[in-house]
Amino acid sequence: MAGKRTIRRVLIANRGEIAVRIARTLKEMGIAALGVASDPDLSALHALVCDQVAPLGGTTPLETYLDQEKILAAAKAMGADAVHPGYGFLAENASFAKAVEEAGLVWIGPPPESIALMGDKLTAREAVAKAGVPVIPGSPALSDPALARAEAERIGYPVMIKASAGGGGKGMRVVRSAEELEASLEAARRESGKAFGDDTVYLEKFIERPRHIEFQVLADRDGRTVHLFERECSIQRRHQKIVEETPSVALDERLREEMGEAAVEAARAAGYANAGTVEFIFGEGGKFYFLEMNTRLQVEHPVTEMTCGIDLVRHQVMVASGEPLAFTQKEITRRGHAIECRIYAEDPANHFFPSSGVIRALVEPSGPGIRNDTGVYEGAEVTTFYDPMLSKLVCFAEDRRAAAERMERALRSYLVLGPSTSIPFLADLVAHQAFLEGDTCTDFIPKYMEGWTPRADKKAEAALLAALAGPARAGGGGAGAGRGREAFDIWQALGRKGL
Amino acid sequence: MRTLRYNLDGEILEVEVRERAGSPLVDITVRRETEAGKEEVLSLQEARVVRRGSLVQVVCPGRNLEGAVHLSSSGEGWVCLEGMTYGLADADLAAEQEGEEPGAGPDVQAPMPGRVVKVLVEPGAEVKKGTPLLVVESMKMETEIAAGIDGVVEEIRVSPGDNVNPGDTLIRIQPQG
Repeated sequence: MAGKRTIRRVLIANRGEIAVRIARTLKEMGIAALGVASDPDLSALHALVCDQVAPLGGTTPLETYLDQEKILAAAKAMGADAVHPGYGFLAENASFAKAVEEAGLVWIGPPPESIALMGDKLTAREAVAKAGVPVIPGSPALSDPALARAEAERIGYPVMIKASAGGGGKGMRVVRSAEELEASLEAARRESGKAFGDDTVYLEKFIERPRHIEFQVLADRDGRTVHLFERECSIQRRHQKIVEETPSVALDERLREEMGEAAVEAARAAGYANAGTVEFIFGEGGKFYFLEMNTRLQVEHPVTEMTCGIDLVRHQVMVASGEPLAFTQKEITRRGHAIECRIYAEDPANHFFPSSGVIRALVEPSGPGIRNDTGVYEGAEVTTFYDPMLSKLVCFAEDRRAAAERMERALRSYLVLGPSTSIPFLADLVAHQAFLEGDTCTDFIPKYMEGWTPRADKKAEAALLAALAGPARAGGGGAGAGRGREAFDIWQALGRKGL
Repeated sequence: MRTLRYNLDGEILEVEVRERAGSPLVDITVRRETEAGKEEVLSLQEARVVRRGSLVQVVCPGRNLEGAVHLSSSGEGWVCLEGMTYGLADADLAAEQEGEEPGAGPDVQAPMPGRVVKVLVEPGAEVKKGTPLLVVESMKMETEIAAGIDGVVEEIRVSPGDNVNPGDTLIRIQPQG
């Protein structure tokens, strides 16, 4: 069906760690990695690792990475023959995908029609339900409170109100009784209208103590579709994933096969090509329901890559160029266990407020089975303009216990000076008995980590290291240039003495 | 020997670093200052200190420690160890900065505990801001101490071999003009 297209120069329409990660694979494939950068990002890591970079001019996402015209102009100026959108920004924008194709470029992603179909939660649910994939009992779009009451009764409380155009937890509300329904409905519509410019909401059965389990799928342009097993992403804070892993402790082989087949069916129902993720809500007793499909490379894709031994970006490029899938379902095997922690510039001891500033010192973890997909470097500045994720730390080991232990060790050796990070919170999380026992439901954070404070008090050690790093009072008598401790480096001097 | 005091979230910690004669190793004691007095909270003996960029590593028989450290010229600093970042402030410098700019007056003071190695000027010598006046040895290193203002050396209060403490006046300069 699809003609072969040659891909030699790929524009990466993204920033941060994912742009860096994509550029690396492109280079390995002998393909030129073409970057774009906003003004604050001109010396960001992704701009430095690309073979060529076009400045976009401007600062906010709207005037840079979300500006379709600027991105397309950059692609043209640098002679790109394809566009990889990464995740976020324009990755799930069907009109952008279409514009890329109309400009004669290869879109390294699913067909625009699939993006549009799966981008709307209601049409997505209809499409996959038709294909026999289990969906959560739910209502059509509603605005009338009386109809909402009837629908809620039919579905059975508790129910969840969701925004049709939603994502990231905005506009979502749990309702446990008929009395709460009306007020919650109004609030959800207001919130969704504000966040998405569309106040359409619907109801869904609320699953108690659910897990979030998703399947990676990959399809070529001739419709050959496989899955690359599951990822469990139940540990979330305010509906945002922070720890992901594979395999999931909740699945046995029978369920895994069943869900994998359902994921492939969902992708086929969407006419899917390229890499995508089918998300399921997994309830107690092994019931699972289609939640949504992410029509792009997922943030947490590295845990799949580690356990399957497959570079997803490489295969994205291959199938986008019209090549058939390089493997059949049977040929995909995996081993071991992988865990990913998202490292954010935020202060876990202070309401997870976003943090910014220059990274004064950066020591990344290393060792067997450790992969740190990072978008920053020592001396780089973390701004407040974009997503505050600094890196994704991925640990692979032979089993879950060993992977968790490796993750804790890696996190405790990960030193970031400057912005506050979620590292100490994550280190305590992966060392938590409940995590080690696999009690990873979506209520994990409120249930086990509420009111977290740093476990270890190492103030004395911190003071000791500061004292050894440099003289505190060198300025007092006017040493060297007369004042200022930065003019006076005790360790440089000690180094000369051979300490 | 030198002593540094830090304020970490209101907790005052005193760090005493003692060098060992003829050895690159140091002994370090950390004490917490409370209303009741000083309480030892950490002590490392025969520690070897390795610094790689901003990474400070302490290797000693009892335990090893490592962390990334950044100190600013305003007496503030950050230390990251075991994934956790601690902000700290130099407790003495903070107090001092409330007064005069250090080193800018006629009194040239010892910036740290140490021993005078050499005096580089004579009484009556004309000096400029930044002219080296004497050399003090501390922590097995020699540091030149310079004039903080332009002027004439009025008085030299120390001789080679003298031990000095932080804040001791070493030389007085008669400001010019």
